[in-house]
Amino acid sequence: MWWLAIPVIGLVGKAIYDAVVDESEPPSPRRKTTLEINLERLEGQLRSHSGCKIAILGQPGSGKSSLLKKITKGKVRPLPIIGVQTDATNWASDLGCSLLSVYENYVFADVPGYDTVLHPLQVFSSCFPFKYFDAFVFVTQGKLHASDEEMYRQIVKAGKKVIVARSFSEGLQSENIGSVENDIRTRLSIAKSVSIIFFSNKTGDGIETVFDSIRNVGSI
Amino acid sequence: MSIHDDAEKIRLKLDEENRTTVSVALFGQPGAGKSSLINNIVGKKVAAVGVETDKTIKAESYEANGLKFVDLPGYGTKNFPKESYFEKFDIPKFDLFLCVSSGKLHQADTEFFQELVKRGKVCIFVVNKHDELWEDGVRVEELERRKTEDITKHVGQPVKIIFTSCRQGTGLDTLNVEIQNNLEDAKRERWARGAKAYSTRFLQEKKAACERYVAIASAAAAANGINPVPGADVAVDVSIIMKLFKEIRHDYGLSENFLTTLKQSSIPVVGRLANNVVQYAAKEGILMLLKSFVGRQAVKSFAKYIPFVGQALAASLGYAITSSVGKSYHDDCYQLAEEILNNQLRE
Repeated sequence: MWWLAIPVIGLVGKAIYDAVVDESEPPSPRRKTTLEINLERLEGQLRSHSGCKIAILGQPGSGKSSLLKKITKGKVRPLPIIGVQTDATNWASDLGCSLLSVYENYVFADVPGYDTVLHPLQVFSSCFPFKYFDAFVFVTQGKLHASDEEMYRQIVKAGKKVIVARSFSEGLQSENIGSVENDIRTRLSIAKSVSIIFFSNKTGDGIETVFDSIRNVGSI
Repeated sequence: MSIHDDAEKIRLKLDEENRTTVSVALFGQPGAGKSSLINNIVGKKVAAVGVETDKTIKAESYEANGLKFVDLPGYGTKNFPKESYFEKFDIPKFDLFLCVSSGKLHQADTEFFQELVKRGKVCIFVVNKHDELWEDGVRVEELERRKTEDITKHVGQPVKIIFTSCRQGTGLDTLNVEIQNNLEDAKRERWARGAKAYSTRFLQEKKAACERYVAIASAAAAANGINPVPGADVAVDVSIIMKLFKEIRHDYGLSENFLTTLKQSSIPVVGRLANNVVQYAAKEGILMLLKSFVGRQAVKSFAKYIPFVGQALAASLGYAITSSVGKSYHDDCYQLAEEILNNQLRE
């Protein structure tokens, strides 16, 4: 009758095994998203670069990639990705995507537009390596969003040079420029010393002025 | 069926007509052009537009021509968290939603749209500022295609997308027609009356909807014998007619200022029609118009409205007069609107 004990031993053995395996598995931390890993990767790359490091930040579709292409006369490498589709510049899907572009002695980060499904604002707020940059180009377009205020606060906190640039100036009537500038200034509480540049990727107006401001950063 | 029953019925019918409204909710990022879009849909300035940023802290509501528009504040923001949003703004009560965007898609828009779809609400995507859709060396058709693909991918299913430009006036007819197609019958007529006609086809629909309304309102005016008609042994309610005329003017976008401009138009027929429309707007004008129709035959074309109006009332002398008056005023307004559309006249 010894064989009657086999299933009993089997059950006991399984219970012991389960208990051991359960204990041996540590509580796993939340997996990092691709965007978070890429932002960490960005920090690493910034540390190893010696040039003047500039981040271009702004709403999706505000014209950051086009601006970078224009101010470098298409010579920045690798070329930024431009497109009308949301998240044309995408740091959230590919762990090998390029994060920095080089032109002369400048290193640009053409940052994806914040506040989309793939690029939520809070990830930028908490993980973006603000302090490793020498200057920020803050691109606005149309009316200001709550996310712009939050992002600008973060930029100012880094204590570096800021260039505020309003794109799509071709759609503004000259008499409105004053009130638009005022609105941006009050909403973001921009210091008097910071000038707001109006530019248009379409007509090329103001592109030179943006680049001159960047050159000034380099000479400081 | 006695004339009293008809009279009571027609009063109720008119009340019901007047109570019918179409409510449309708009959502999208600040600066997408929601206010401009509202103004362009109804063809007059009801919402303030400007370059300054306004913090939307409540659902802003606008009403014009029996159409109601609500500009919803940001979904899932600190002030309006997602969990309580649908109850707070009574989202199920709206007839239709417009997701307005002018650039790339933001998280809040995508999420709110998906919530609406989940609840079976009708939502039309409006890509505004079509004139700003531009990219170096890419044709606009190609950009439109990419944009459509982008939106479809984001919301996870094929959706109706309409490209508009308030600055250039493009896509507005398509939008107004699309909205109408997505409404139920009674609301469709209301929409046809209230929304601006950007095409002859829409103007025709507006005409049909207005004619039906004229038939009902003039019947109600005939049923309420208050003011004697000069030269006839019959009394009608002039205040109903006055209100009717005002509504017809609004339905065809004929504001007081616009009419003043039109009266001085270099196109003779426009000046004449505008004069008529202004002259018969006041009570004296209406009495004059009523008097001129006394003794004429009942207008046959209105026979098709007997089902709405009732046999007894339709056969009465009062209705013969009021319906003729209503039809005549409506015809003037319609013809004027047709001239405005064909000659692209502006206020």
